[in-house]
Amino acid sequence: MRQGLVLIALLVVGLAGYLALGLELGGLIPNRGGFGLLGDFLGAALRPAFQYEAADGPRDWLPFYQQLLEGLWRTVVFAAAAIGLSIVVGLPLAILASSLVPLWVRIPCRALIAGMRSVHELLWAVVLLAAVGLNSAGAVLALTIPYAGTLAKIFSEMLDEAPREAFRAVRLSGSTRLQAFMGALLPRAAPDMAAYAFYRFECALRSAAVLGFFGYPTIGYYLKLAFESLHFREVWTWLYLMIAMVLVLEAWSSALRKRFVA
Amino acid sequence: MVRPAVRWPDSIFLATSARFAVDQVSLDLGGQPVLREVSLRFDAEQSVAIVGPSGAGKTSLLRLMSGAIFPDVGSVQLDGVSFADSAQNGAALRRMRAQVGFVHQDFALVPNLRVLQNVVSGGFSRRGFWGALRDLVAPRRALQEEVFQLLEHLGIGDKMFQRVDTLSGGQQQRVALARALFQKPRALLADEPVSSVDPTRARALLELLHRVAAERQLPLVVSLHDAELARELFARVIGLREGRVVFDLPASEVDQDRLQALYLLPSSES
Repeated sequence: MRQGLVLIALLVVGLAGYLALGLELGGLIPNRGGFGLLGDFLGAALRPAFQYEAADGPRDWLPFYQQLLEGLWRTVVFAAAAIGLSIVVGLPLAILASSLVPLWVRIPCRALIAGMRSVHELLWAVVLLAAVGLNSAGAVLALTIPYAGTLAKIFSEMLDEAPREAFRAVRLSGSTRLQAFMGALLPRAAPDMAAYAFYRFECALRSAAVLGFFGYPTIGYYLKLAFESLHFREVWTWLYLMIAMVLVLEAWSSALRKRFVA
Repeated sequence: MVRPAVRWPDSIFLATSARFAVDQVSLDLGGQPVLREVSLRFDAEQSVAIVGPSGAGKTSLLRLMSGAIFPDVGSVQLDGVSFADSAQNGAALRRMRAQVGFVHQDFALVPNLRVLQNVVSGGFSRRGFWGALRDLVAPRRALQEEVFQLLEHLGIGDKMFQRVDTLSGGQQQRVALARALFQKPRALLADEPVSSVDPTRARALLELLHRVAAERQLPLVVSLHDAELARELFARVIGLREGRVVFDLPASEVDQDRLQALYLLPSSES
């Protein structure tokens, strides 16, 4: 009943939005030139490029497959650096935002985490691009701020939800809070935390790829170049590469998850 | 006293056994009276069973004696020092708690850690932060050897490197006992240790508790649901009902009438 009302309310809000924007579905039908472009683009999906489409590219360009590897490598490295830093920053924040610490620590910490999370990594990227220029550290930082915030929030929830009997038992044996946390609570939550961090690594890969649109040398950069030159077959090669990257990571992470959590 | 077949590290024998004094203790939990004017003495090398129907206050009494909770009225003392007084100072309370080994009803182990890591966490009170971290992550050879001897003595030496959640309930209970013993306590408390095992195993487990307690000259205090087992295996039996001590007698003097009176349903439920 309650859920039904929520659904209806959301539909009403959606309709209001539709009217407010004055949307016309007709606008989605391409004009004649558009149809041609769409056809070219979709057709290229079946024949992704294995070398540069333009024979007259600059002479100092890397061979195409090397360019692919380069873009893939940069994407992975950006994502890995960002997720590593996010764990280093996020875990202490998670502890300080959990119910293990007094309220006067927890509340400011949660506010800080909410602040970090509420700005999307692409906005951080724009800000940092303006502030420090096209700089790898800036890109990593742009990813790290919201990712560390998200990890901190989810980690602290995992710490709060992890069963506490062992923690209490170790405390009762005369240990300090910190020792009991380390020996009996953190290990209890660790499998879930590791699995979640791995999932966030997957998200970081997608974000790192998109950061390329701002000029960082990740997959998005080459994707944008190819798109702007209307080299749709190259675009599709990059898209397939990205899909493959995410699929491989997903298979890996679900295998790890099974090992950790089951 | 039976000497252990395995040679214990000498430090284990240095501890002398503890004496508890429970004086006029009353305790309310969540607005409900749990214990009422309970006074008891526990002296060295005694084996005591606390029996009574569920809700009689058995677990609360053990928790008071381990310094997990403090009485509203009266005092619980270990060798003349009140837990509530030492609670003013975190380090003093930790030192007191370290002297009482506690085997929890649900074992309270970390299921996804190895047996070794669970056992060493019982010894944290002797270690600083970094020492404890080292024991968990990269335990020294001597430490591993010490834990192995302890586990071997309890019959599960070969499980040392297994994850706790791969062990049977009885094995997990031995891990919980090993953790409590690794604490090198001066008294051993066990809360309903046989509530989830079959009668044969229950007897074997209680005999094991007696054996290790006797070897180390630790007073053993166990809460039990099964009064028959208590009468048979323990020297002293305390009957608790609705938060009051109904009897406190040598096992031989606990007769059927007393037990019947102890477990009689209250008039409101019969």
